[in-house]
Amino acid sequence: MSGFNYEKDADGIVTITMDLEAKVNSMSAEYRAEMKGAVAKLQAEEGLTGVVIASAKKTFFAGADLNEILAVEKDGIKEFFDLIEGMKADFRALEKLPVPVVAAINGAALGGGFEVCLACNHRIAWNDDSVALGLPEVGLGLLPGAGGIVRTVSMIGLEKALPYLLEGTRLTPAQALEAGLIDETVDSIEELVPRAKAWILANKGNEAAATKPWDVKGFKIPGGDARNPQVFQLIQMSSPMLYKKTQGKWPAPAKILDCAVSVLRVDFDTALLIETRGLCTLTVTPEAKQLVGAFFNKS
Amino acid sequence: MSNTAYIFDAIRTPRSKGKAGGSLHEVKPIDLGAGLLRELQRRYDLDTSYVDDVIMGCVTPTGEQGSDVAKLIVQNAGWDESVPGVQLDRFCASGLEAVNSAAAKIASGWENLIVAGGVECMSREPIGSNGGAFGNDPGFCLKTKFVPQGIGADTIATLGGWSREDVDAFAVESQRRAAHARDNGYFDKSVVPVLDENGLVILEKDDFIKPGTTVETLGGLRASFEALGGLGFDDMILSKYTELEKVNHVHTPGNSSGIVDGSSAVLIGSEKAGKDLGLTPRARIVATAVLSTDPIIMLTGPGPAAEKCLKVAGLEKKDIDLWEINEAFASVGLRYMQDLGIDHEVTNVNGGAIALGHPLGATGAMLVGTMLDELERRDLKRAMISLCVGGGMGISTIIERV
Repeated sequence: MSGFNYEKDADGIVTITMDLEAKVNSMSAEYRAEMKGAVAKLQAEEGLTGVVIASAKKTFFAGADLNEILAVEKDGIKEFFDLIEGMKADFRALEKLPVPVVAAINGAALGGGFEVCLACNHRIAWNDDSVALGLPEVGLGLLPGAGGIVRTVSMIGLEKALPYLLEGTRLTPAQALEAGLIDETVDSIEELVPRAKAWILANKGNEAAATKPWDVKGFKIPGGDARNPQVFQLIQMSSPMLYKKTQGKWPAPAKILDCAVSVLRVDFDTALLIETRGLCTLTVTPEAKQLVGAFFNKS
Repeated sequence: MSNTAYIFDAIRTPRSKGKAGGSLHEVKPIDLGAGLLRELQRRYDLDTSYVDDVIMGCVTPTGEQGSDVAKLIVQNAGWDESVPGVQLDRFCASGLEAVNSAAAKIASGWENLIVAGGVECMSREPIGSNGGAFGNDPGFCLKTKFVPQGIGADTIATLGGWSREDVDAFAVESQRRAAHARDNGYFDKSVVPVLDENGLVILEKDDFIKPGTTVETLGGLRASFEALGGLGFDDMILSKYTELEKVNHVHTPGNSSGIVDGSSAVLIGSEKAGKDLGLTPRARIVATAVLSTDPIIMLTGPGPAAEKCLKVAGLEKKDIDLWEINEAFASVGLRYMQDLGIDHEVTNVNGGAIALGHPLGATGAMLVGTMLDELERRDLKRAMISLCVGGGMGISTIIERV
């Protein structure tokens, strides 16, 4: 059976094992339909205690459908905008479920794949060199537009998030754990789903485990918002420091920086919207088409 | 003989709730303002290097609205680098002050084309963020008996004998008129949709209006300033208005101006500018006036300002076809009509800030556009625009179609 395999156990935990028809799991039309269906099913599920998102593929999830990205032209931006917003609405619905959602990361989760993980309440990864994590969109002339910017900045603050966003650094599970981007690792792949379920059971009735920090009233971004004096200084120096690297040549890092700073100035959902608009803008740039095209030729 | 200051166009953004969740919350102030400048450029294929100055009111010039936001809007719009910009603050009159200053500069003959307007993203830079002695300096507050505007508005209602039902009825009428005007396209000439960088529409029309508001729905709202008054502000203002036994607290969020985001831009210039650029004047600025009245009650300036403006213009009340008073609070509108002896039928004919919202620094210039459009739609000649202003000030402008 392909698609999203939806399985509920005796403890009320639903495990969704992503196994799309394509060779890899990616943010394709098939994925979008499966995710939408799964979220609706979860919302209606009775006796639900938690959700595990797992993958049947060797990589956890590959990211955006680059053919789709390549095909977007200026006159199709509205459709692309709606498509991204639809996907992000499902992520929001997932993180607003009243039960914990755990990502069981068995393989590489880069770009969109990592954004799936970020939309979960808890991330557990297999501690193996094959498990590459991160948001490399900048290298394709794009930005992490499925919540990647907004969630990383909201999780670890602007200063810590910026390097990952602007350089597209690939992290090992150990590095991601150190960075605060995942929550734990396991030593063998077999331990992943059992560990995820154990965490859910251990947090039964713990409202905080099922709630994203930004959905708690009074949420403050780690490191401070734009009015914090140190963050203020960081923002001021971020433009020249970026320019020194790019010499103004690439639109993606500039847009990523602008979106990341916006996260400090508006509420979470508004920041997500700003991020979507930024992705739309970058997707139709010649730079993105060139870099995505080059990526295809390479792979 | 001074030059005539012509209005070539007056545009604005739609207005939306000035808090998280509002449609314009995602838009930076410099983008909101720049959208209007680019629209003026587009409408008239404007050679922007011809523009002598851009004057923008902004009442909370901190954070993203700090550092002379008018100049940054000019740059952000991609206008010619020769174009300067200045932000000014005369509290709620800032937008009209921008228009009046521009008119004076054109009249002086020293400048030929100016954009005057304002920007206020209240969702991003909340009212009061810029501090000041008002409310924050006990020495000053006790010496001058500073009270919040709402206490002044309630005192105005008490002095005028306007009950809660009276102010709510005024608010209901504002909502009804604003919804009617929007839904019948009366604002369409001036309201420029806010677009994102991709050209996608963020907001097309005013969405703060609450059609279907009734005296009954408003009646359930709690008075906003009763508790504050009880803390001591009532005693402070009653020490001046000794004829009153108490302040009747009648204002609520339902009959006060709405907190919204918005921006405005009025293209004002000389006859020469019109000829040089092929612009057709729609109206002229006849006269302007500003003054101050009792700073404690704070909001009684508009009537006297309108009288002063008439005097400057050499006109009488009967020469004015339409009157526009910024609905900071319902009692401000009622007091204005009482002071001037004018009818609600010719005042705020398309509603006001109670329904549409009051983006502090942008409102005054918005009202110029509202009046200009309405004079044209009704084929009338002159309108008076007035606002109450912090510190007891009042401001007025008379425009006349040409």
